[in-house]
Amino acid sequence: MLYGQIEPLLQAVQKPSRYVGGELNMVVKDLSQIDLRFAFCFPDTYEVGMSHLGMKILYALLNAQAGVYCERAFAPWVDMEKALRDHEIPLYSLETFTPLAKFDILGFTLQYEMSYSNIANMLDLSGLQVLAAERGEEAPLVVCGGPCAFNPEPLAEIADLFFIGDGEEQMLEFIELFRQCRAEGLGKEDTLLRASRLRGCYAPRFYEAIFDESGAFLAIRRLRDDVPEKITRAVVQDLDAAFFPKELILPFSDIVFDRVMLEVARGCTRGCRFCQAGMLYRPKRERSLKTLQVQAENLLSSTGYEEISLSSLSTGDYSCLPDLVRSLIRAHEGDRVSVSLPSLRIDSVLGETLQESRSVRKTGLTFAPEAGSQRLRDVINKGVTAQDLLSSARDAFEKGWSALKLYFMIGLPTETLEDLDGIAELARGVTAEYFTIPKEQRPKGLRVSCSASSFVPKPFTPFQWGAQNTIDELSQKQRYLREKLKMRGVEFSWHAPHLSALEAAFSRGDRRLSRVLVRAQKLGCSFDGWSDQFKFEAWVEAFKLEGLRYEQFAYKEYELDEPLPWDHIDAGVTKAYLKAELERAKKGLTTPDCSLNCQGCGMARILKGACGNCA
Amino acid sequence: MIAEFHKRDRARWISHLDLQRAMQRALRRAKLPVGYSQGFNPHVNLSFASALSLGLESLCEILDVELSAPAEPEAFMAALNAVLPAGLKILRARLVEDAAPAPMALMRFAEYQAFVLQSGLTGAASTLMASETVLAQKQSKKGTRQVDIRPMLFALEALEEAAGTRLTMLLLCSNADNLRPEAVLSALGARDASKTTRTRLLKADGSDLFLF
Repeated sequence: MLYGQIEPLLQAVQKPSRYVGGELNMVVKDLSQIDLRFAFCFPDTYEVGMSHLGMKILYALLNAQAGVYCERAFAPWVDMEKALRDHEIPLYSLETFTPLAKFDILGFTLQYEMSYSNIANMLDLSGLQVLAAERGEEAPLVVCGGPCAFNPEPLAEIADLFFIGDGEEQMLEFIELFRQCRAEGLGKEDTLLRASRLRGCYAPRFYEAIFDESGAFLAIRRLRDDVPEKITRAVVQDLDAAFFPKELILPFSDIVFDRVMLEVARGCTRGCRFCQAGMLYRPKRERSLKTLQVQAENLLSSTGYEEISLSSLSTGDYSCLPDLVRSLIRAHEGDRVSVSLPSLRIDSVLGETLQESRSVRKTGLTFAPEAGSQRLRDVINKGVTAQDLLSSARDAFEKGWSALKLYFMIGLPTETLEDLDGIAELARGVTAEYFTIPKEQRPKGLRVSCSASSFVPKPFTPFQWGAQNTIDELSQKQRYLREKLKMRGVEFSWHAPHLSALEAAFSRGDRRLSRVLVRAQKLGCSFDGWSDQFKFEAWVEAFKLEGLRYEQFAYKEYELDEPLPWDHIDAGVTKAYLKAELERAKKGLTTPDCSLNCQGCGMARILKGACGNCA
Repeated sequence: MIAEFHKRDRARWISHLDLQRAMQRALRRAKLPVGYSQGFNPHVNLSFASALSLGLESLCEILDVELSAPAEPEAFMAALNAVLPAGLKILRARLVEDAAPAPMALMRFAEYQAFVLQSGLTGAASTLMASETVLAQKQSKKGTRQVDIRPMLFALEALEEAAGTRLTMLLLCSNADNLRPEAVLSALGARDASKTTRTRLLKADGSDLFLF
């Protein structure tokens, strides 16, 4: 038991409660009844990881299986990392303080490319080799899943296995297979071989990446013919019947999303061309009103939370949204529970629903026009107009909101200075709406927060072939906007372009980046997403030590017929569809929502029965 | 309702602010009739007699919670204990009038026990008690400064045991000012990290704060 060794360290670190577990609803099991120990590893802080719905689902799902114990581990903050290293204490699970190296399986979730260095660091802190080939039979199997697993190559030499697609069913199949293999006395290699025949499972050791003399990527080639040539994403088709926890761990500390999160739907039918999630989570699947009401009741009574938020890619599109919000408020208002609606699209059904939501709790309103001009919004297929935004903003001001967030991206394909001017015009338009409302009828304290993130081209989107803007270009655009957005009531924020460049390199990167990660970890990179920890020079050095440059990945312009490092993954959407969408983007043509008109994205090929989105 | 609870084991790493939130949510889970504040973000009206420093255990924390309807202390205790996380447990509860003074205002002393893996501290303890002034570093919102802690130190006992020294101290602990046991330990020259437990909260006349 490591607890005795850890306890003396805690007085000197920030937020010690993140390192001791023991929260309400933490699963406690009798270890003598356990034959499979799984550590769910979140490569970021406790506060970020505990806010993640996918982790809560898989934690509860695995722990619902007899004989399986799923525990949690997070990336220790730098102060705790130093304390652990100074005292030679390995990274451990919060449930039982067991060193991670003693688990059967370590599962990392890939939510964000810039958390990869934390994966390398967590393995190192566990006393494990970062590269899979250097870990022996006795080391745990390292598996990865989550949205970034759709381009697994940058981690291909680090992970043993990737889960591609929805995890709920796939995970259980894998757990069964793992037990079976162990019962038969099979080693890692044979276990992985069998696992690679499961839907959505990719064991990279059975595939090699081939490059030409100039270093250009040529192909991923199978090393044996009994593994699939293409790995097809796993899909949970009936979301309403899918597993959902009845209890949530209630953290003591103030985590990022400290509330009940209801996943009302998975997937989105809008087809925004920059949006990887919109492509990866097709088709859109909804949970029924009844199911969500039961889930809300279960989670509220097991936690005592005072807030529910509705989560999905486009909550405004949920077909029973007004009914759901109304029924949740009615059922729980007596217990002072409020409902908040994040990531609202500006053309969603607002009016009445907003009014009800506000009657309990005032939450921030977020609009995401993404681009400043209609031309560019058409290019990215963000089907909203300035008029939509302005009238929604006015509506919100009239109903008592004074703070709005506007999300934009800069560096989108075909962007010019005029599109940036459009961002400033929209912000000005929003403030103008506010000031035209008579003083006594509008709320005090106008605050329009404009945020401009840098566009990162992502695999499986129509923009996957194109280069990212360079750091210099992005910096220039940020400076330009900073001047343009100096107006009353408007705040402007932006992201570090250096970080976005590395994110772009890893999002479209290939297998050679695994060794860059190993280098970066040795050079002290971790928590790259935290600006005070990000070490850009160390990253540049890590690339250089492997004879590479981040620019060759981030700024790579692929020909449409050139092989891509993620071509061996079948995400559902076909290349033909993505190419057609790119063509339309170049012409400034929008594509209708696929619930109105099937676009033949290819998703139906990998489903049982119809996709159902255009029914 | 006034309730006394302990905060032990892993729960000693819960900060004061986090403890407030944890208690609020526990009261909600227990479906006890609690009073809420007004406003957009209503919260349960509750307070603690004293904030316990992070990392300390306690056998005697006092919670004061406003009820919206009468409840039996026994039932209150049982309902809350059924839903509290490990390490937090209600030990006693009693109903008081709304007009009763806040325990926070009546509190004067806190007793702590610490076990230090070190011998030879009995002499240091006697010296400390015999001194007229004891200068120690005290952390405040304005930063660290030198203060005389002797007027806030009322009793200090050191008992040599086989594995180390058991220290019992009675320190000022009031709404206005308080002395942390860590300050006394460092003035004693206690080196090893030790586990410190708050064992009693007392009024000015030395009686049990819970029974005020």
